[in-house]
This record gives sequence, C-alpha cells and structure tokens, in this order.
Amino acid sequence: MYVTSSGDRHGDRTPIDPYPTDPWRNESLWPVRFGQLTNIGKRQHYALGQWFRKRYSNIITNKYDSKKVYVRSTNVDRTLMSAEVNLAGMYPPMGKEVWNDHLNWQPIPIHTRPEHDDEVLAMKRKCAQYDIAKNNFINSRAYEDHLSKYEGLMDYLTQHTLRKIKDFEDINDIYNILFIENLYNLTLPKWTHSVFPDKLKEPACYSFSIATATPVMARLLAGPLLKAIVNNMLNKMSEQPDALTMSIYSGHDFTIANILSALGLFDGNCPSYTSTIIFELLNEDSTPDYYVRISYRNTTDIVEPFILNIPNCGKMCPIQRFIQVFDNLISVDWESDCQVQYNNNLIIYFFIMIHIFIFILYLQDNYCDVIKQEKRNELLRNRRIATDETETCLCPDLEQNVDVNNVEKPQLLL
Amino acid sequence: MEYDKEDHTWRRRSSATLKQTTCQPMPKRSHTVAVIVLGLAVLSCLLGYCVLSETLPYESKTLRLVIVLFRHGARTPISSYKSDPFKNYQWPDGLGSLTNAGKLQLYELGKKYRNYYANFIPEEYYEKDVYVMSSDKSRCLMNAYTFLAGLFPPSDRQTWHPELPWQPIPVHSLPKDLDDIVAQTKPCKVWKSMYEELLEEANSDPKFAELFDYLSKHTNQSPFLNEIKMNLQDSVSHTNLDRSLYIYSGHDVTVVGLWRTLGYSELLEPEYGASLVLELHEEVEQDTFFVKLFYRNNTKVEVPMELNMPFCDDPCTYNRFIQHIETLIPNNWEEECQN
Repeated sequence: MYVTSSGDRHGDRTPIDPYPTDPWRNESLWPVRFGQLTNIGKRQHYALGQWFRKRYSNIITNKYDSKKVYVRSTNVDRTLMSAEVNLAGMYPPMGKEVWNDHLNWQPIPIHTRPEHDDEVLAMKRKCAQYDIAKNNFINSRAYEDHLSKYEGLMDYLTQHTLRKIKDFEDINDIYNILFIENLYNLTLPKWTHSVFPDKLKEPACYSFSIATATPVMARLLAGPLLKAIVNNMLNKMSEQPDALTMSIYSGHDFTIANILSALGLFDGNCPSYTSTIIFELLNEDSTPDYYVRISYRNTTDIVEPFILNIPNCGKMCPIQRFIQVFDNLISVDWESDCQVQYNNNLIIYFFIMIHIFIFILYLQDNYCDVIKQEKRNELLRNRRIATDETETCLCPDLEQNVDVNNVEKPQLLL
Repeated sequence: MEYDKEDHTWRRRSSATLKQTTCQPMPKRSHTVAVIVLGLAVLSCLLGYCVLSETLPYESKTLRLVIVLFRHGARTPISSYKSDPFKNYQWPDGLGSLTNAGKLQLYELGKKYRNYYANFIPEEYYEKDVYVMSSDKSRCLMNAYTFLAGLFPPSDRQTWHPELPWQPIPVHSLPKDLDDIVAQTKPCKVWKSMYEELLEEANSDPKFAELFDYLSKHTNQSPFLNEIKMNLQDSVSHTNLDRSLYIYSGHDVTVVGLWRTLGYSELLEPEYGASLVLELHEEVEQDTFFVKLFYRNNTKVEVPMELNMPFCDDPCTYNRFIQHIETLIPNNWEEECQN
C-alpha cells in the first residue's frame, strides 16, 4: 500500500443557523457557539486520527515527516480544528519529538487557503461555466418535476419554521438542525413529528447530489480534487522525490458527497460527522500493477470502512483503467474550462451580423443601381420619343420613382 | 514606564497609611494584637506585590484591543554554505524546521502573554474574541499552535481529553503566492525589480539606505499595515465588539518590516520569538483613542519595552497613528505593484 488520500468531514458541531421558531435557538443552551466543533467532535476526530495511525503504521512513520504527509483544510474554524485534533491522535510525540514534558501533543502544520480562492477542497472559487451549468440544471424540466413533488412538504416547513423553504438545500438546512437537536436529546416541537426524520431525509440528502448533477458540473466541481489525488498516486508510482505518502483533506459534508456523487458512488445518505473517504494506491509485491481502492465510512463509530465498487472497474481498480473511466473528471483544466465560451459565440454572431448587414447594403446598392440603370435607359428611350426633362433617380426615394413611373406609363403605351 | 511609576507612588502612599494605623495606640491588648497581625498581613501582601509586581497582570481599564506579531522560535539553518563543516549533517527535521527549543520558546511566550494580559484576554478560548493568522511556512504554523497552547490551556468546560491539557484553535493562513500579509511573499513586480536593483548597487551606492527605506516602508508592508488599520478601525467603530486579540505568526522580516514602517531607523535584530505588540486604548471621558507600542526582543523578557513612535507624541492618538500609516498604504496595491 503506498499512497492514501483521505477526505474527512469535521466532527460533531452545533447548528449553524437555527430557524426563527426554533425553541432551541438560544445559543446559551448549547455547549459551544453555533457552527462550532464540540468536545464530542474533538474526541471523534482524535479517535479517527488514532485509527489512521494504526491502519497505516506500515507506510507512515511514527515520527511526523513533513515531506511524506500533507494536511490541508478548508479555511473554516471547525475543519481547521478537526484537522488539528485528528493529527493530535495520529502523531502523539515520540522520543525526540517530545518538546514539553507536560503536554503529550506536538504541533503539525495544516495548510489552507481562502475559500473564495479554493477550487480544490472548498470548491467555492467562482467558475462562470459551472454557474451556467448549474443554472441550466436548476431550470431543467426534470429538476422542476422532482422538486414539485415536495411542494406540500416545503409549504408545511415554511409555515412552521417561518423561514422560506424553496429547494432541496433549504430542506436540508432544516433537517440538519433537527438532526443535531435530536442528537443532543433536545425535545423537538410537535410539528416535526410528522416529517422528521423520515419524510425529510430523502429530499434533504438528495440536496447533496445536485452540485454534481451533470457531467460538466461534476468535472468543474469535483475534478480538481480528484485530479490532485490521482496526481499524488502517479507521483508515488513514478517514485518522484517529492511524492507524498499520505494526504489528508479536512472538509465538509458536501465535499464528501460531491466526490462520491461525481464518481457515481453516492448512495443517497447524508454524510455523517467524521465520515471519511479513503483513496488507496495498492501494488502487489514485485509486480508493476497498481490498483486504486476507494473505501468509505459513513458513521462516527470507528469501524472498518466499506470498500466501494467503482463503476465499470470494481473494488480493485487498475489505476490506468481508473484514469480512463473518470477521464471526464481527472482531465479537468479548471482555469480554462471555467471561462465562458459564449464570448467566442458572441464574436462570431457579431461577425455574421456585420456580414449580413453589409450584404443587405450591397443588395440595396445593387438594386438601386439596377433601378437607376433601368431608369436611365428608359429616360434615354423617352428622350428619343419625347424631350421632357426628368431628374435622375435618387433611390430609394419612392416619390420620384412613382413620379417617373406616372410620367412614363402613358408614354410607353404610345 | 508609565504604570511602573504609578505603581511606585501608590505603594509609598499605602505604606504611609499603614504606619499610621499601626502606630495608633489601642486600648485593649487583644485589639492591638489583632491590628498588628492584620497590619503584618497587609504589609506582607504589599511587600509580595512589590516584589512580584513585575510579573503580575497588566492592569488597564482603557485597553480595548491587542495586536501581537511574533517571530518564530529557534530553527535549524535554512541553507548551508560551501565551507559549512555541518554541510552533510542530517538536521533532525531537515533545513529550516522548528526545533523543540523553538516550540518551547513560543509556548513560554504564550504563557507570558496569558499572565501579562490575565485581566484582558478571557481565560476561555472563544473564536470570536481571537483571530490567529500565520505565514504558511511550517515553522510559523507550528509556532502559532504552540503559542496558543500556552495562551489558551483548555478550561474545565473545554477539556475534551482527560490527560491532554490542550485544545485545537484554528490558525488561518494564506498560501505563499497569495500571502501579502504575514510572510509577504505575494509577488509584487515593482518591489522585486527595486530589490534586484538594490542588490546590484549594494554597498557601493550611498542611495542604498534611502532605497532600502523606501522598500521597507512601501508596497511590501502595506497590505499588513492595512490589515492593522482595519483591525483598529473595527474596534474603534464598534463593528467587531467581540474581537479583542489578533495574533500574527511571522518571520524576522515581518517584525523588522513593521518596525521600520513605524519610523524606526535603528537596526533591529529580533531574536527568536521576538514580539511586537500594538495596544489600542480608549479614554472614555475624553472620548479619544490611543495607540501604544511594545517590544520584547526574545521570549525571556518579563516586562515589555514601551516604544515611543517617532512620528507621534506620547501618548500617540489613534487619529495620528492612522494618519501616519495611511500615508504608507497605497490605494491599490496591485496597481502600485504593476502586477
């Protein structure tokens, strides 16, 4: 086993923004402020870190090696903190690493970047093409039909929460708040009994597959992270000196769902706290064959994760085949793919318009010339017959044309 | 030091009152004994206070905001030189990495700040009070974590692991190519070309000092100055009431850079863990704000040195301070850099 990249969701947290009629919306009723990691969440991640250490003790050293292990988090307090405790569980200081006799902990760097500038992990950097694709999807008949099935439910929620619930994401926000309150054994208001959890769960968790609903959306949103993971694997295979043995990514529920959904592996269940996807590169002793294995654990309990059956490739997927199957995602060239191409279309459209315009002018000119020529001929003919004076045609002045015609007609009859 | 002086006068006055009390003859013996015992107790408290006052919490009713900038702790060499006798020595964690001593230095510094600001920085970490930003370099990130481990040991409520008196605290950072604040590594074309020019001319040209001055005062430091300005403004205008502490974990260049932009021309050689502190004070009665600057050259210093900013009177009003740093902040950094 060589390289492993794992994406994990942060641990237990408090609700982010309770709805207006929520009986538990008073922040002081909670152990920490809204949206923050709780002590339970810290312990969950600490346990996950300890599990990583045990599972990968054969490929990563007990001593932290900054050249082999890379940790990245989204720039959000709870994911940064989750990564910190995870590493505290994974790397308790050993031997010479002990720097403080009173503290069985050592600092390990966690890299991050602003969310609006992070297309890889936060997946929040602005991408015009993605916005167009998403907009098209949201306005598609199929999506609207699907959403309309929940109109009754959304009206019911709007009425009781006093918050406008208009799509799957909104349903998920409510579901998430109720889920956490239920987890904390807080009594939920009566109106929830008829909808929570069963009726809400399906549409709430469906919200996680919208972001990568079409191949273009999946490519632009989940492509960069999958590309980074595959590149890590290729680096390791070709024994690059800077190849990492393990990369840890600390993200959110939607990070997990987007990756699963893009790979066609999302099972419709919301990712739980500390849910973890693991990408492993495996190779059989002394053979040049490398395989990708994807495991997923969607529970806070530290149990053996499920090995997922990769579409068209199986549980042990040869890496070259993996790259072929998911070429749509891995080949993403984010910066250029995100640029809006209708600029080109506009330019082409503009050119065509100009050409048509010129053509019309030309036709008109020609037409005018033809008329002028005809008129001249007629005039010449007329002069031969009669010697009355006519002005030259100033096409497209109709009056004169009419005049000329009026004058000419009787003469032609002669 | 201002509050030292205060301390001095206050001590003298109190001991005088004390003598008066003890000297008054008391009718009953038991009373006399009680008074003497009490007096001795008070005296010993006072004596203890005098001896320990240097390390006791900083008492200030006017303090509103603290901005701390520190340099990382001891590290292994960043690169070796040609004739380096240790060229082939395998440093424990490679070149430029933080040593255990370095980790401990900043941990101790964190503890010092905890004691020094015990009456100002809440004992319990709460993310809206504090914002921590570090350079993306591993040694700076690690030092930010150890500093915080010293500053915010978990309260009972925050203890999540029975044997680990530590809690995770988020440290924000910007990748190298975007960091114009702490590491100041975001590319700036103009600055780079001037810097190269400077290297060429080096010592031979008398313009050296002037140019260096310009360089350190302009462009490269300005996003950091702007950040400081915003932090102060948020506090003065009450737009961010919770936030009372900003921590920046940087390099020697960050510390020296800020030092120079604040108008000091003397050479500053910050040791490992050197820290600069800007304090914002509010005189409610006068309805004015003041800025104070303190410096610790290393992590051993108990009481920081207060610095008088050359461009400002003492006390330095907030308005004058902002006025000064605004002259150093370009309207458009990107434009000035011609990126």
